[in-house]
Amino acid sequence: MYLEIRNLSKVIKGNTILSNIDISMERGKIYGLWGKNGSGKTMLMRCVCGLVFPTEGEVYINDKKMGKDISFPESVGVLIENPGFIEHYSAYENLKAVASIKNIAREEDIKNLLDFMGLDYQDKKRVKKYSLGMRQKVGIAAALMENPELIILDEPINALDEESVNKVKELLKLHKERGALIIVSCHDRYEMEQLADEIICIENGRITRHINMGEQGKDWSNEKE
Amino acid sequence: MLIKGSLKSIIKCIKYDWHRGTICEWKKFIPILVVMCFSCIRLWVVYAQGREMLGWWGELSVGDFMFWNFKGMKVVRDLKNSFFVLDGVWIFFHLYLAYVIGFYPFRDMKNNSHLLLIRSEKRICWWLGKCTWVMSNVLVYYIITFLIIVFWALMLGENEWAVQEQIMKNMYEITEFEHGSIVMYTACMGLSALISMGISLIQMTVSVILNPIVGFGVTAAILVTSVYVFHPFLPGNYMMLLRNKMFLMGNGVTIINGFWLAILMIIFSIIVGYVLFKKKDIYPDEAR
Repeated sequence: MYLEIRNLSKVIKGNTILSNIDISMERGKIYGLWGKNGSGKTMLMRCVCGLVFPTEGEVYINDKKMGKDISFPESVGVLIENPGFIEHYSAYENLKAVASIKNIAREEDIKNLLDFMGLDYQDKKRVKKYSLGMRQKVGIAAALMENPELIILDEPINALDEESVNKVKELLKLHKERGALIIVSCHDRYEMEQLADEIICIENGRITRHINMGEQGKDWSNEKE
Repeated sequence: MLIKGSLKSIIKCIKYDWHRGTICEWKKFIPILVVMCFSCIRLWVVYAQGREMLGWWGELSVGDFMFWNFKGMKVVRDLKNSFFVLDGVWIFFHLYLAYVIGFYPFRDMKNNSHLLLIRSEKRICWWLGKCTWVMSNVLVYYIITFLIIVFWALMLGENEWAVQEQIMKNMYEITEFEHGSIVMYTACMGLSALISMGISLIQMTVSVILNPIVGFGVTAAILVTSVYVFHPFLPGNYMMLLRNKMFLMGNGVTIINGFWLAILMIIFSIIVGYVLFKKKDIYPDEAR
């Protein structure tokens, strides 16, 4: 899995949301997107997913151009929006329904993942009655259950308790070791430091810094919030 | 291999949509079931009153029940000595169908794009899946209606499938009409369903590209305009038996013209809708 974003810009009704974004990302790494609200992180994720078309520039995934060779990444797990599950189904039933689309995730995979996330797969409780944190966990499970090559998660640890946050981090590290390319956005500085191999700072739609945590980790400590 | 792969994706989208948009939302068909029951019983009551007070004779047939529910309204310009009466059941039937169809495709695109749309691999697979969902739901809607009408007709009337001459004369002042059940059922069920599919696909296209409220508004506008304007290019006219050439001798709309109009609307919506959807930016509601 190799992702390349070349000179990407997005302008909506005269407002520049993203400007001259150039990044290359490779498999087996976690890339953190860091920036204030409205900096362009989510828009960048949407462009990578194929939900939004850039005004200028291109996105290439494994040398295939988005919007021309492919509509969406071929193997991707995404959590950008509020997950819209079937309200009167349980978490397990919802994930089974979603898994039936591509038929990649087995029932065992779904059960194990839900258990790991702290949700009992046998629980018949409807998603309608779930808290925000529980829905978030189901959304993360939906994004990861098919072991995708590309994982895109927008603020996945929001609304999660400490134990769940640690479990999500553990999961992401496992997927990274499997060879997935992971893009995560997060507001929590500490969590970002713990998780990401490389941090991309975005401000007003532009990349201001690209930090390799292994080499430049100390510089990150001086980065202003 | 590419086409085979796309076909598989489309089939998977259809299965998911059918499960999520129809099976899981089966309760939305209840109101039309109730209204059709009410309508059939009302016909029986009206006819019973006519028999008692006006000396009408004969038994209601299955054809009479079908005609009652799909008759629509007479052409406005022809009402010189009569009042124009809006057929509430006809209006409810078609507007409620618009409601049944209206929100699922848009909601799926906005709220579930990371579940289905991205997994569909290509935008055309998602689009064709949705078009199939719309058409199949229209079919289900009409089948439910048909079965309810037949049930009440057999319960309250007689097992006869043609309309009764005396009933056409007594209730609708129609003395001359073309006979033949097959033609009537083709008109009221087959053509009406096909026209409904065309209108529903137009509605879905507008809903997905703009929003569901505008889509519903477009459908309502088509229907209301059809009620007051009698023209072969207004699709609502083909869904009213009172405006069909069978019952409006010499002046009515024909099944063949209706068929071609429906096919045109269906093909136009699918193609134009896809061209617009292909390049549409999708902004799902953000995770918090």
